This record gives sequence, structure tokens and C-alpha cells, in this order.
Amino acid sequence: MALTCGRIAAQPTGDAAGVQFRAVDIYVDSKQQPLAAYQLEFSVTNAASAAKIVGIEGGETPAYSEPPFYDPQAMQHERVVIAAFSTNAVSNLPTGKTRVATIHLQTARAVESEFELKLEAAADSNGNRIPAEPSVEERKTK
Amino acid sequence: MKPGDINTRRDGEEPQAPEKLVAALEELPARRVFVPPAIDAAVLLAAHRHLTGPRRREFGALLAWLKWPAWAAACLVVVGLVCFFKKPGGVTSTVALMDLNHDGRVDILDAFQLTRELQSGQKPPSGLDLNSDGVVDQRDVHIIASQAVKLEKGGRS
Amino acid sequence: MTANTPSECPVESQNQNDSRTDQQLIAAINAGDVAAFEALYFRYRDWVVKLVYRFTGSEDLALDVMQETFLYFLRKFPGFRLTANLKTFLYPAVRNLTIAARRKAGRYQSTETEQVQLEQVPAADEPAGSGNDLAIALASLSEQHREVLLLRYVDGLNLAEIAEAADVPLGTVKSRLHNALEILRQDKRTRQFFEE
Repeated sequence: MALTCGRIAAQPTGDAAGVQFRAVDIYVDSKQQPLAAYQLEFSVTNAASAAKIVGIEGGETPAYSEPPFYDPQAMQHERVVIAAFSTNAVSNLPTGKTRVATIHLQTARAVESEFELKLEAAADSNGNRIPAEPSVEERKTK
Repeated sequence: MKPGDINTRRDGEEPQAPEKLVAALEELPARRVFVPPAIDAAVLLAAHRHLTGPRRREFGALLAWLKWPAWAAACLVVVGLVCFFKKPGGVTSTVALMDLNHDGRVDILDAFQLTRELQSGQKPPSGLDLNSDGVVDQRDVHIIASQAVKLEKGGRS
Repeated sequence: MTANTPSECPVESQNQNDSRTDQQLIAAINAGDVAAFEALYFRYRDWVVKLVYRFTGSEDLALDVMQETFLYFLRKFPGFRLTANLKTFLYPAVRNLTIAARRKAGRYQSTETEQVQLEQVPAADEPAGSGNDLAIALASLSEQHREVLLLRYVDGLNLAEIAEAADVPLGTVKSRLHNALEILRQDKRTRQFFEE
């Protein structure tokens, strides 16, 4: 089970009471192997940032363009498990580092968010587990 | 009592602090922490939901007049009825059924496997008709996927 | 599944100057009165925030723990019975939630120094650069001594209430208060308060 920890630097705002929205892109790197299914847990681990999950959308490739499966109870909380699979032909499955989802966070304060990403499953088109590395990047606002 | 004395009778009266000290403590500049209105709103919204939900109000009224011995007896009766009518295996066996790849857990790979079996024309076990609509199809796949991503603590860390 | 954002609006703020006693407000909250909870919330909110800040020196933790404290309190309804000063009930909850929050906040501290800092006894309210001798002397007290002093003379709890809140015998509270006062009397920064 791959584990990633990290921080998102939230830009300070002029208004201490302001609410901010941040988008966090979730990647899975399956190296050379086509990624047919994944499941991972994302959580915000520092209460100080008051970051809450407010939205989840799909990724960049056709295989994962639809929003993943997730528990709606995760909305407005700090933890979510997302998962998706694709029955596309192998040639139409992504390899390498793929953005599989984007998680939208609402933060009430301008402090760094700390989070944990745990890859619980990654599989090829036959359902066989494959090694993969999860990672997360904050989407830059325009 | 002379100024500066501290009452040493610990088992009797309360130790008394000099008035000057008490005044100074009361005037200690305390840092005021600004509470964003959004935080107040979040707490009060939670209060609104919790206190005005219809089931909770009925439950609260029920709690108000039921005394604990009656409660205990009621719980025993409910537990007994559940045990009497519960199907053998119950929830545990359904979850075990969903573990299609027999790796000891229900995750997206089980939903994926059922989808592949359905697409390949294989006949999946009838026990996988999880929504009891008479067929095993993508709706049952969704049930497995929902179980896979289900959060035990409601999203809280 | 489609992601969506919550659409509910926050509850509008009511009159915060409710004249009802805590007992009356509790009874009303048990009956589902949201305005009564709001009144109680605003009545004790700043005290809870200040208390957590006293424990941690962190504004962010103070706000987090304050929210969690009131959500914890909310879950006691209906059926909550107030048998003492509400601060007596809230104090241990605040304390325990603060400990948990500090542990979680320190989870990804990468250096030993940061871990040591987290475990250090937090200072009392101390205005930066003010040279307030009393505040400095308080900061040098142990947490137990400082707490009983502040609970008694800043938060206004009597000794029995402090004993219940801190879950220690009354004799222990008296002993800690006595020792705290004695230390301040010996401290040259605060000796003046004990002199005529």
C-alpha cells in the first residue's frame, strides 16, 4: 500500500474570515502498466487548516473522465475513499502518471493543509494488482 | 490575616489570594482570538440540523419519558427479536459474497471483477443480486463499489 | 456519482443577549430550541477559545477545538442535564479535545525539536514584548498550578467546581492553589502583590 504525505501551501488572504477553495489533483503512476482500476484514500490530517472536501471530479483521460465512486458522507469532512475502474481496451488505458481525479477543498483559514494519500488498490485489465505510486498536486489558479 | 499571608489550612478554608493579586489576574491582558463568522455559522447550522430533525425530536421525546429500566428491557427485547429474525449469516455473509476475488476485503477490484464477468457473458452467482431485483447487473456492481468506498466514521479523520 | 457542493444556508444570528439562565437555556435546547443553543454558544464561545489558546498558544487550534467542543456538547441533546456550572462540564471536554488536536497537529512534524516543542507546557497568555511580570511569573508555574490559579481567579470557578472539572480531589485543588500562591509570593516579580 503506497503512502504519500504532503502539504499544500494555501496563499494567505487579506481577510482572516475568508473562505477559499482549492483544487487538488490526484495522480496514480502505474509506470509501464495500463491502469484499469484504482482505489485510494485521501485525508486532510491537520485540523488547523479546517480544510473540508466539497467536491470531487474525474480525471484527464477518457478512462477516468467520470467522477470516481466515493461516499457522499465525505462531503464537508476531511477524508474520502475514491475508486474507479475502466473496461476500455488495454490500448485505451492510461500508463505512467495519470490524473485520475481532482478533489476540491474549502479552507477557512490561510494555513498549510497537510494530507495523506493511501493507494489501496491498483490493477491491470485482468484485475491483477500492479504496483503504482499515488501523488497529489495543487492546481494553480489562474 | 496579615497581608502576604496565605491561609495554610489546606483541609479547611480555601487559600486566599491577596486582593492586589486577584485584581492583577483579572486584568491580565488576554489575547482575543478572532472567531470567523463562518465558524459560528457552521456550528449553528449543525445545531439547527441536530435539534430540529424530526426523528431526533421524536427520539428525544421518547428518551425524555422512558426511564432507564424500561430502556434496558426494551433493548433486550429488540436484541432478542433481531437475533430471532436475522437470517443466518446476515450482513457478514453479504459482505463476504461481495469479496469476489477472495482477498479478504471488499474493494473496487471486486466491483471490477463483477463487471468483467458480466461483460464476458459469464453467469455470476445469484447471491450477487444485491438489490434483489431478480438480475445481477451493473446496479449490483454499483452496490459493491459503494461498499468499497464506504467510510466508517462518516468522513472524519 | 456527481460531486456537488452543499447548498444549505447558515442559521441567521439571533439576539445574543439572552437573559435566560443556563438551566433555562438547557431546558429549552432539550425541547429543540435552536435559539437557546445559539445563546449558550455565544455565552461560552470566547471562554472556550481563550481556554484552548491558554493551553496551546495556537489560534488555529483554539478555533478547531472550540468547534469540536460545541459539537460534542450538541450531541448531548436531547437529554442533557446541567448539574453544575457549565464551565465545569466544558472544561474536561476542552482539555481532552485539545490534547487530541495537538497530537494530530503534530503528526507530521519532521524534526525532534518540533516534537519537543509540542510536548512542552504551554505558556499562559503573555502579551508579546509587554514585560508583564505577572504573566511571565505565571508562565514559569507548572501547568497544574497555573491552571488552578486561572480557573479560580480568571474563570471564576469555585474550588469544588475546579475539582469536578479537573477530576481531582478537592484537597488536591486546595493544595495546588496554596502552592501556586506560595510560589508567586516567593517570586521577586510578583512579591509586590503580597506586600502591603
